[in-house]
Amino acid sequence: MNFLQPTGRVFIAFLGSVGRLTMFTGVALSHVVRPPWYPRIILRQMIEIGYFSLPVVGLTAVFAGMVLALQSFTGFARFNAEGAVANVVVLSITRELGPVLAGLMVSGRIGASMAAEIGTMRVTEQVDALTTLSTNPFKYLVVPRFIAGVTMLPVLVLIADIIGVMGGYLIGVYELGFNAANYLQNTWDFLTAFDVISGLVKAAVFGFIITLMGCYHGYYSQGGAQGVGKATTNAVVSASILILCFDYILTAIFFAADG
Amino acid sequence: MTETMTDAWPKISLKDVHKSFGPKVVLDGLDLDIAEGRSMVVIGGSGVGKSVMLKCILGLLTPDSGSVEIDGVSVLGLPSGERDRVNRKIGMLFQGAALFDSLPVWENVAFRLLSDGTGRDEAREIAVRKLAQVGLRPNVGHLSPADLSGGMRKRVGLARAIAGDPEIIFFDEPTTGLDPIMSDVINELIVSCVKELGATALSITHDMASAQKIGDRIAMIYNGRIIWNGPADEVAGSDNELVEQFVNGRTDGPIQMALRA
Repeated sequence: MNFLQPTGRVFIAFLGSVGRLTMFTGVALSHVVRPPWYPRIILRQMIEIGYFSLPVVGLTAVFAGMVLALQSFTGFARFNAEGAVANVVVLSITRELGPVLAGLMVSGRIGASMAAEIGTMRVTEQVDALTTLSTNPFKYLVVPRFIAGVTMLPVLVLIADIIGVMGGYLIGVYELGFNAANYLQNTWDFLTAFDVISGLVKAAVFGFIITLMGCYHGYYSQGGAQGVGKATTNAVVSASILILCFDYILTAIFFAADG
Repeated sequence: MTETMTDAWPKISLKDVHKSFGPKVVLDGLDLDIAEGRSMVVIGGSGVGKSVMLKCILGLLTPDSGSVEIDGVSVLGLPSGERDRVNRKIGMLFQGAALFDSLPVWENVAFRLLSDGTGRDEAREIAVRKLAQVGLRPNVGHLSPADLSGGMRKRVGLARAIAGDPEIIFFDEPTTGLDPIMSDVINELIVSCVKELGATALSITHDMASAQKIGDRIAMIYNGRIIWNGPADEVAGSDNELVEQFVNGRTDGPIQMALRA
């Protein structure tokens, strides 16, 4: 019966974490709609998330598009459906790979940096200093990151979609010998607004998840440098897992809506 | 000797404050009154609850029971807006200065002014004036906190604490980690800033030289309670054996067991 004790302890700790995360999310969201807001910090975060993530997201997208074109050509050639390469590339990029890959890359870049920055502020009493200076840490630290994450991820994904399709185009035209005009026409004809919008909705949700995990783990970090390191790891791992979980949930919802 | 302050209306009053973390009791019925315009220093060993007491007054921690009053008004359980209004009366110098790394020094000093809507030019002027008050040149204002030495960080932290002309200033271990000369510089700055503002000051420290320099009164905390409270110049001659041992820094005495625990 001894195994019940550690199992129960782990389960209770898990429930405690879920409760604390729910409370954190609720409090943070309640501050999103209440002034004061900090436009300078929101702008700084938008630049940090949107502009400075552009190279890594762009590179990921272009290689994903190129690989997708090659792989789908290999597969489709087995039943003489090579002409569907452009369609598969644009559909995969806009609905799935654009948001998921951008989400995972931004999670590694931004989620980690948020957790480390807020965690360091926590252990060096900067978060307490904010409170003593009559500034709510949620409003100053969490809300600007939430707003920047939710607004900039869709912008990044939109750009990633274009770059990813261009990656597929480059391989399709210069490696696989497709006619350039036909490739673009196929891409454009097959693409629907719903494909793009569903990807952007996913991106907004992923932006929320990344910033939530970064802020939450940073805010509750403790134990000095080791605690900050742990918070950073937890922020990236939990955000990545949640992105993949919510990717399935959202895909299932869109599948039902589209069908 | 335990004595209660009755020479002026208490600006800050703690009554029967209890605070525990799990099974560990940190504050166990702590009582402390600090008169308006006076400088109180709370001394005590590491881990006896000095910082917890300070955080309970600042609203960073909530006591399990007891009362904390500022200007005769209970500050426990206040809604965040009212708590912010109380905090506007308070300046705080943290142990490690707690300067915001993402902001230049002048924005750290003028943080509260900028939050309250003061224009950036005016806030910068005030920040430069406050920096001068703690002996720092205007060009320091453009540096990042990461570029400052320990002593400079403490001075900037002090400038930030006094920037809003607070009625109450808290000092958490103001001389920890500083060399003796810089410690004395900080002590003198604290005394002059508190006098100039006419503020009520509460400092926590285990540096006896600092305590005697900046305090009108000294209280000693032990096992979560105030076990001695009196004028600063009487602490050295106290007949309380706990105080006597702490002041003289002896290893043998009643605090021995607590050290081993």
